[in-house]
Amino acid sequence: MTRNPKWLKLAARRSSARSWCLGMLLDEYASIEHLSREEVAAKLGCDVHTLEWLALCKRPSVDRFADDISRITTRFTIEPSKLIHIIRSVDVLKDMRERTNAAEHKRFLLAARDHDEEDHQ
Amino acid sequence: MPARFPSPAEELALHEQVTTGDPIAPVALYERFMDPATTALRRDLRCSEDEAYDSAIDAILIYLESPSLYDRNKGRLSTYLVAIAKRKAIDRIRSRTAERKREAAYAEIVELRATDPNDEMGVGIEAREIWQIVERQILSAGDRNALKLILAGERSTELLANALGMTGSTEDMQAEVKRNRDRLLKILERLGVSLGK
Repeated sequence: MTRNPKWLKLAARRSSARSWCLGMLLDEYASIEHLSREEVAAKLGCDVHTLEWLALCKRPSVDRFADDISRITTRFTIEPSKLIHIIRSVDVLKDMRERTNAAEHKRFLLAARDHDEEDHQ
Repeated sequence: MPARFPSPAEELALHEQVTTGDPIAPVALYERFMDPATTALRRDLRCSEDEAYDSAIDAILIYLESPSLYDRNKGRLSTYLVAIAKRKAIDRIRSRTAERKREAAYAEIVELRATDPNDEMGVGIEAREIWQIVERQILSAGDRNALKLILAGERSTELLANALGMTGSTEDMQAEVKRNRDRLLKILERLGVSLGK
């Protein structure tokens, strides 16, 4: 990337509010790992401006993950394994969180049913 | 050199990039459209730089979310994006203008109602002095309570009767409250004369 226009930061912030943007995933990673933007950039081996450009990208799709990763990392000269690590970390954690929530919801329903049955006895 | 929109061929290629789901297509769109779009917005609508940036970003995000809504046979992608951005910018300008009007109206009201803090302090001191004179002239607690209610604008016979410690039938009470009210106002009038000296 040769230049960092005035609107870049704003565009990155606005994009990060969209679930289909890589920006949201990078923000989620920062939040999960308690990292600053500078630290996330360091994890990717790039500077903060490159992180802002990355935020504008679409998230790699599941069905052509490798191709999408390659497109993004080639464009921004990033080590593919570093971006993959971040995406996988967020995906795994979100999946675990969803499973935990589902299990807790199921336990709650079972407890509610048991309580209801006790009341009717 | 002023920013220029991409050529029609380049725009078609960009649209193709977006519709095929290229993850870096948004980057290309921002790079190629942001500067010329914001220049057009500022020139045509005289909006602020921030309003132009936000509106151009709105247009790009709207397009990226539903690229199929753009019909390449109806016109250029730049025309489509600038049209969206202009609508968004006009909304922002209207909202800003309305907010300024509201602020101006509010400021006018506040200015009209606000009093000089020195005046307020002076009024407070004067009121205290007057009340001290009233207390010297009106010794009954009931009369003082009734006078406080009268000065506060209270006109309820029942409340004034209570303050005066009166009991009895409503009709009698009405006449009695009126008589006491007139009496207290007379005292005030007299005090007003003496204070005005």
